Amino acid sequence: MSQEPNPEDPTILAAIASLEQGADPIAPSGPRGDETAETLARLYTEVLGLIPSELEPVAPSPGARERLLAALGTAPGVRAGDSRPVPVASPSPVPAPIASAPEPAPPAPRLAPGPLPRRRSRWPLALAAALALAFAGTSAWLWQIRQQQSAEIAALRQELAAQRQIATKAGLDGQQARTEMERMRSQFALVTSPAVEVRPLRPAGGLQPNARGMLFVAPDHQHWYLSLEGLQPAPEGEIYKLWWVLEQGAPIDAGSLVAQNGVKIQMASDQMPAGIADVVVTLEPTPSSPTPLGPAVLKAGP
Amino acid sequence: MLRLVAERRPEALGALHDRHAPQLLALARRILSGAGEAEDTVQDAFLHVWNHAARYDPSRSSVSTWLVLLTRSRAIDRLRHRQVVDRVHESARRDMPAEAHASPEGTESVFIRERRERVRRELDNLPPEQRQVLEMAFYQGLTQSEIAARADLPLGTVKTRTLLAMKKLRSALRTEIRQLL
Repeated sequence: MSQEPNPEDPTILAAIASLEQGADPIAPSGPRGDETAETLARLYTEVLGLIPSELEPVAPSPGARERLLAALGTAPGVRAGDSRPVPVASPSPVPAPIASAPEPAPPAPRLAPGPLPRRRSRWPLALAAALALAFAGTSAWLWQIRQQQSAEIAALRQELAAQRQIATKAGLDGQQARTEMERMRSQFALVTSPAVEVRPLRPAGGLQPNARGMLFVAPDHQHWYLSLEGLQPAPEGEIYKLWWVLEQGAPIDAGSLVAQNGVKIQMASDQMPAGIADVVVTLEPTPSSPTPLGPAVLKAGP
Repeated sequence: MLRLVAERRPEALGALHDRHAPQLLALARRILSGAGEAEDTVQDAFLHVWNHAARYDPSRSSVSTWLVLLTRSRAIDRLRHRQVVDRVHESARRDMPAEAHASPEGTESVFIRERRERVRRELDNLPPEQRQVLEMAFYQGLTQSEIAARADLPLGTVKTRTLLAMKKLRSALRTEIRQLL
């Protein structure tokens, strides 16, 4: 049951230990920003998350969803804190009749004309006044509604224009994000490929004792991805360069590296020369040196 | 979906519940061996999601894994609480068969069914002693030391078995893991 120590083991044990501590997915066992450790931690977290997939799903009891939503303290389907305008009962466009029409007065006896002619002339006046008032009220209400509608339309137009601007910007951002995601996905696929060749780069010559790195080479020996950390900025006038050291022939310039304090350096390419024996990062006095002239600061070794 | 939940949209939480509750309920039942407590556990987990959706870190885990770990943690807490307050009935409860339940086959996607078959097969392919330590850690919430004591094994052996099981699963479930990333 004995087994060689594996760099993955602390990550796996950390994942298991995180089960004992709580629900949050594990933190990588390496320092923050260590991509390899973060990737491994993620992979083993997902392994744990997949374990209960073996179980036959169980339908929740009827009403479980409603009980959950009710427990939120909001009515289902209503956004919490949402202050949607409550529809106000609109006034009837036609005013309600003020009073029921009076029974028609019985025809006055011709022989007894008294107060009846006066009463007959008062009702039409009252009715006309009521109608006039109703008409005026309706007109005022319609005018008010129209004003509100105009204001609403203007506000919606403004909102639409703003949304269009946001959508345009989001489209551009989305395109950038897709490109970036594609790049990351390809690097991720390379790094997590089971057949990937991993070459750790270690400090050489004592110039940069805190620097370290990792070179991932795809099985096709063409695609590669390099990650470096802890490299101090190069002194004024000098530059770091990456070299492929071949089994036969002169080293090949693989590119320059610009180091900044606390910033991880990443390089990737889909081209790599054949017959590489070693990988070296040197501190060069000039960017255009065709062969390594300066001291090595990082070295992969065989 | 979680972004909408973080924006306090109940309908998004409802959709999340529809999608994940059957699997989470199965997990809670497996840990607790009881339907009522299992439903409460899942509800607790979703209420936690409602209140803390903003804390979800997509770089650390997929949504489904986050929900699984949340639910598992709550179920294990209940299990421990139950063991403390009611040790007398512990064995009886453990032996109690799970209630008959209806599998939501009508709503289950082919994708989920295939994943279940695959995970089940790969767990079955593990040597029994490796599967045992993994299940004791995952479903019973035991630490590596507790597993060693309970199984009467050296701690190093428990760790080795756990490591081997996890590595095998990672390798065997590569496709399923990639679908979650």
